[in-house]
Amino acid sequence: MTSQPSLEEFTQQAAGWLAERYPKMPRSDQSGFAWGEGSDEVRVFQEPDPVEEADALPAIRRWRQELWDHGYGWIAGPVACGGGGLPAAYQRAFEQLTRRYQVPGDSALTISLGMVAPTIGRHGSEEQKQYWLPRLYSGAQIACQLFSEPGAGSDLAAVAARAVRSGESWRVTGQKVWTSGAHLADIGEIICRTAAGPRHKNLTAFLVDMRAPGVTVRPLRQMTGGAAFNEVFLDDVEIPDSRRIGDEGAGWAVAMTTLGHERSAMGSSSFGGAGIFSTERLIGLVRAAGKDADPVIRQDFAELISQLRLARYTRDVMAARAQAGQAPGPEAALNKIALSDNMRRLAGFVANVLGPALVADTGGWGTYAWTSVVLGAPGYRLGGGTDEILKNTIAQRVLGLPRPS
Amino acid sequence: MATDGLALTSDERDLQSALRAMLAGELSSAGLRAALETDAGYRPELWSALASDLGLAGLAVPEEFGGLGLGPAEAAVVLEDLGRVLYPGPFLATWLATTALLATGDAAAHQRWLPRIAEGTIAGCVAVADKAGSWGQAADAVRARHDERGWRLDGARWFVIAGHVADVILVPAVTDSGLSVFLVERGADGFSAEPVSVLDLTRKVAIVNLDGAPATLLGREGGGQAAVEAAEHALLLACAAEAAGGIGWCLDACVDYAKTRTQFGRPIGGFQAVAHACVDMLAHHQSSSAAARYAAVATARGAPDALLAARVAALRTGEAYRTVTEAAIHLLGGIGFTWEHDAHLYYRRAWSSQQLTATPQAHRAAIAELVRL
Repeated sequence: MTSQPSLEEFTQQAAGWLAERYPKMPRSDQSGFAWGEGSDEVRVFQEPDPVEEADALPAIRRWRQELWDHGYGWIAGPVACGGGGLPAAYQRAFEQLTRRYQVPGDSALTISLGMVAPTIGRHGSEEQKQYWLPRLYSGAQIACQLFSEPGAGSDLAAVAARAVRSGESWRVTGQKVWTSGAHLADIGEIICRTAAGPRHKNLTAFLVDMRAPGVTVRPLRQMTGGAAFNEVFLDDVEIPDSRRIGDEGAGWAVAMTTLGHERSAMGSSSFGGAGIFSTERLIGLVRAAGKDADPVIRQDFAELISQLRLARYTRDVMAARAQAGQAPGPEAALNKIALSDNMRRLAGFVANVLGPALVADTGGWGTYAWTSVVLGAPGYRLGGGTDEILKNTIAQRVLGLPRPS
Repeated sequence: MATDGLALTSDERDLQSALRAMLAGELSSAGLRAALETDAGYRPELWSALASDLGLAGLAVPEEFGGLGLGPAEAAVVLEDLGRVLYPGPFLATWLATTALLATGDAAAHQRWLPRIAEGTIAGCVAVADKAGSWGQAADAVRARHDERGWRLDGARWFVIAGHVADVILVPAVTDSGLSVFLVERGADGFSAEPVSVLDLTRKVAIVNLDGAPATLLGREGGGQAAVEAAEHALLLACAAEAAGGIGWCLDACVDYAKTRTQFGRPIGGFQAVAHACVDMLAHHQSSSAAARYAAVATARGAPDALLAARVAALRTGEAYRTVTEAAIHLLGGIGFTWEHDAHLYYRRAWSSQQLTATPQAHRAAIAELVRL
């Protein structure tokens, strides 16, 4: 390809490519939703069965490899690192297209591609970018992030996992927690303490081999009953210095980049076309409960819908501004706060519509299943930074207020 | 709706900065308060300048009639900045009247009135609400009859924004054929517009009484629904855009104060409770501004979700404006509760604007209908 194809040409080619390889989605799945059909599962956190999840992994890797081999693996990435060098609109157009086909999809790779890869792209050396980015985008390697610790939650700079230099490598010992996908990952972006102080300047980022001797991964069962996260124990694990991301002592900036991407991903997460916030699903719920003529429920329903639309309009306008070159700063985290607020509103609304059918399984489709949202909602407010930590950051960095205390 | 085009265009940014430059020089707090003391409630010189220098009086008037020929997206850009300074002149009322007049499709009336609106020599308004404030339920609060000299209107319209100064008043009235839209000229026999005391000092409201007042039918008899709906839709957009602007003022005033006001030996913005209140205002500002923009662009494009977006924007920004102005007065402390501080002017606007547009209950009922629950 010598010159850039038009977006139409590109989309047409991509549609042909997908159609040759993957079956079309049945129409009902494309439009999203039909009440009473298929699974009634609704979730805040993905908690797949570990065996099914492991079984699905090879297909996901093959899908990524296919994409990579045909130039669709990293459409908007720089050519020098193996990307397609096309505008971001082409990437979005391709992602929209893929929803029409039964593809393995990237939902297991949100952290790998949405958070770790852009962090390497920003802070990695040229050599690291050339080496890691093609591997991540082609699915040859899957990455997780190792940040939080039992003693470092909101105060992330207090991480205690220590990395000690030993010749051309480092030895790491410590404990990480709330690590999504650690059991599937090949490598992990880890933030370690490499000096006694000063604060924020004593941290260093690395890529640790998740299968190296001394790494132990254990599922962490959360209040929903499922295990969407892990605990990771590191016992004198060796990391070559060539896997250090950024300078020694510059780990805080690296972590902030990853967290920025995480908050933005959480804030823009739509939970799928027929996800928990789907208007069709909520209308189906109200009708099935026989409350569509109840004026109070209609008011509550419209209140919720208006909040959901408001969040969507805000994301859309921010995205349009970003496309126009006005990239959002830390205020993008406001979208994540809005989403967790809406999660709580949703849980409250559903409870009021369902009544006791929410709390005891009466066997009705789309009733007791909502307990998963009720139980997951508090976690969304914590992940990626609590509301309070995000507001502190925004107060300082967007509004220019003194450091809050 | 497709989401590209939601960022401001370069033409819109130019319009915005020209307007800001003009308002910055003209509308200080003292200047605004002096204008509020007058009968009109605004300074005619500034309205003339906005009309002649920026062409705002004819913003929606097609270019063939001497206007700018701009749509709701550009109008919302203007309204956001006018809302930010609580501009008290007849821009909103004239824009609503122009929107309704265009929607009637009455070519003769367009020829006659649109050039004068665009010049800024006459102001317009729409007189739609009944005594309960409803735009839809009690259209027959005004009835039209036809006698040997033409159409005559009897009845009253309430809560008419800029009714005390408008030269042309668009009035929906019921005839034997149904809802129709009429134009009444200021000074007509049997017409009176009586200003009433209002909560929002920056937006005067009148009761329009029609006692056999002569009127011109606009468009087809019984065909008035489209014009009323166009005006109502425009009012929803305006309410959202003005609220976004007013919330922006509150945010800036509070952040500024939080940086400079010291208590316990340090700026109060360093206290987490105060800082978080400021961030909450920022969140309201971003979402309100985005919702106003989204709804205006959707309307300009005739997107299928345009009316839903306008309802959502009016509902959410209406609630946010009240929340933010109340929070602002609290954050500003004692000074915020004084007559001298402008915070109460925004608080008054927030409460007033929400009720003059539609109650939250009415918005929610409409939203449930629009998404087909």
